[in-house]
Amino acid sequence: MKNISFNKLFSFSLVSLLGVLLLISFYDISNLEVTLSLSEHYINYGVEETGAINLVTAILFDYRAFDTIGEATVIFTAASIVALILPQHEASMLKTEFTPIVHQSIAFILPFFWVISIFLIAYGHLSPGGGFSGGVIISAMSILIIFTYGFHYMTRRFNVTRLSLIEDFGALLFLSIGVFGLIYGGSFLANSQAGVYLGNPGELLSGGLMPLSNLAVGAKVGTGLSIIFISLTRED
Amino acid sequence: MDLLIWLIIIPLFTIFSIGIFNYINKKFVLPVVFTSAILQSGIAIYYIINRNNLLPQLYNVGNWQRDIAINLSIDNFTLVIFVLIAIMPLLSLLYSITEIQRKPAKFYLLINVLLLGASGMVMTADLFNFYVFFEIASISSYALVAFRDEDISLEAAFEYLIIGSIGSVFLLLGIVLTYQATGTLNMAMIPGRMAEIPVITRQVLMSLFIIGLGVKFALVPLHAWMPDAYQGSPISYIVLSSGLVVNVYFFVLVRILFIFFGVEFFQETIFTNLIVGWGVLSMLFGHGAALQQDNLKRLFAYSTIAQLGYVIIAFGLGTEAGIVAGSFHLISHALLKGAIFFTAGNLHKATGSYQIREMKGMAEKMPVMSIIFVLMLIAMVGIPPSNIFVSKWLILSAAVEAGYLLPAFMIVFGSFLSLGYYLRPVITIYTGYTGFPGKLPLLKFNEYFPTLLLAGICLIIGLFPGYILNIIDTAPEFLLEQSNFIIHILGG
Repeated sequence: MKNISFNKLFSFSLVSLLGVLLLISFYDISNLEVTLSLSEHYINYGVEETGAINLVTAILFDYRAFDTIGEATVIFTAASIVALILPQHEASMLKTEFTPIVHQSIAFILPFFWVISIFLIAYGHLSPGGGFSGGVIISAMSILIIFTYGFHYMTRRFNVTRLSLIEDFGALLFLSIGVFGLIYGGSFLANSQAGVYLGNPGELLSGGLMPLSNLAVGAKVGTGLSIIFISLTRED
Repeated sequence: MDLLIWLIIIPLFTIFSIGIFNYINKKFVLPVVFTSAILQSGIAIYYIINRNNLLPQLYNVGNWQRDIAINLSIDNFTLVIFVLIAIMPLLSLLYSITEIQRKPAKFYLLINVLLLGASGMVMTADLFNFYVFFEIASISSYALVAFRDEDISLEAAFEYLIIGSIGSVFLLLGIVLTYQATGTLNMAMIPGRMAEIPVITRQVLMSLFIIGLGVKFALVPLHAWMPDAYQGSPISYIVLSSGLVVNVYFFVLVRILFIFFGVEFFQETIFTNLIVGWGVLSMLFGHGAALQQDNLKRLFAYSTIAQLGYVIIAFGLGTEAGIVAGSFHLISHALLKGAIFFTAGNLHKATGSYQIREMKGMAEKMPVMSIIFVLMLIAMVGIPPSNIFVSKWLILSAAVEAGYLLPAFMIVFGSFLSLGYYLRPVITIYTGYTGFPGKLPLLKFNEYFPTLLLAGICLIIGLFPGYILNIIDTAPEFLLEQSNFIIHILGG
């Protein structure tokens, strides 16, 4: 007993020491005078250079699109790992039966979910949102369907295989947008710098290839997160 | 020609399309995977052969100007890893054809994710982009450790996941603080601004990078995941991990330390002594722990930890000779360790176990493989004409030249220590023959070919080290002189 409490005390003091040291260095760094040239460039020239009035999307899909394709690969890999590793003989945990009121109201809500996710994806370069957030709402739809109508209802319509195929095609669309930039503009994932027609900032068709990239990422993230959730609740 | 971006596009295409090919017809998977692997090796070889007129090369992703774009770059130091990218993945995939029977498409997907992460980490010149590829490589490693779906592999994968994630947090913290302190993520713009911030803060940032990446290449107090992970994972992954990915993490740490902080920063403070001492400690610990192992995979995991200790010593010297010697040892250890793991996997086919004591009299069953195994173990100790002899000789002379006599002595001492555990499997294999229980296991082409090829390459490098030395002898230019790297990325 005495040993255990000593160990805990020791770990606690080590962690506190680390925390204090980190806090001191945070404080030191916050006092430095730094010229944030990168973010200033984004803010000053972002709209003009990319044609997207949502700066987050401009950074995600033009300035740093290469990071985005990497992040998309992380989600893609995570989805296929969860589908691979989790055992397929889990006991069922979703046996709750809801009243018709719940069934009806969820059925009423779902189309609105669909509309808002499409809106977020299509207007990603104009208003807050984009492929990632739209995709998350798509996956929220599949979570709602699984919880209310049961797992089998969901898998009858969309099983993991079909969702994976949509995910593959979404990812391939994003990759081919990148290769289009390579062929058309001379550099992988080139968009505004490739000379693609940018349109007037603020219009739906502006920002060059950004709406298409948003669509690809939206399809990929939505199906990827759905696959993760389906795999977590799978029962055979 | 800007072929380097295809080292990213090809694995990405393979990752995304492998599910579709698997859905259409399972027979398409292998050709696609091998075409992609051959193309990647080909690009690496293309850069190695044309290094004099192509390098250094810069690629601005998205055609942005150099100071705001994510840049990919290849310089002469990158070639150290390109030698491994040219050789290891193809052989590892070849070996996996028979080893991986369960869900091969997923395995090839994960291996390609790992390769994508490795190529990206090596080439990128942007700090956050590096973190993205770091995560890509990490996440696939965790899954590949768990791939065999046995209790021991799942446990090891969980352990690796926890330790690796803590390491990632430290690395991310280091990157965030570097961005906050310098206002840029471009690896070429950081050094100039880094020189302006206080020494204490620089030391904090450096520790964060060392901890974050040290977890991944099993720096000694952070090494616990490696033996467990290797014990439970397939040979094809181990070869790729110990032969490529671990070296990539080390490579990136070296680049970050030398470029961001500069070699003067180490020599002004006590850090050179600290790093060399750390290397000696790693080496002695690895050798000492390997002496107690009975499982071949664990034994060689500890041996990898020890061999990386030599590399740490060599790079820690901070001299030109040290960097060349360290790069040479990195390459020759990776190739030889790959061959050894392949051979261990082949011997495993006869016994069904990696325990040394169950390998009694193996030489009677598999005479050729046993001889190769013995020769490679002896080569690992550093007896001429092996490639390890050349690299240890280079490290020794570099250490003596830089005035580090005690570490130089320790290198020799460590090699004698390693003789102890390398001889143990040899003695077991050649003694205690207990009759002939069953049929001889027939080795397929794809099982003995990678083994023989790697062993042959090691022998050739040992006899003619000039082939590799020619490739890496200009590597120090882009490490010791920060200005070379900065001018290369940002322009004159």
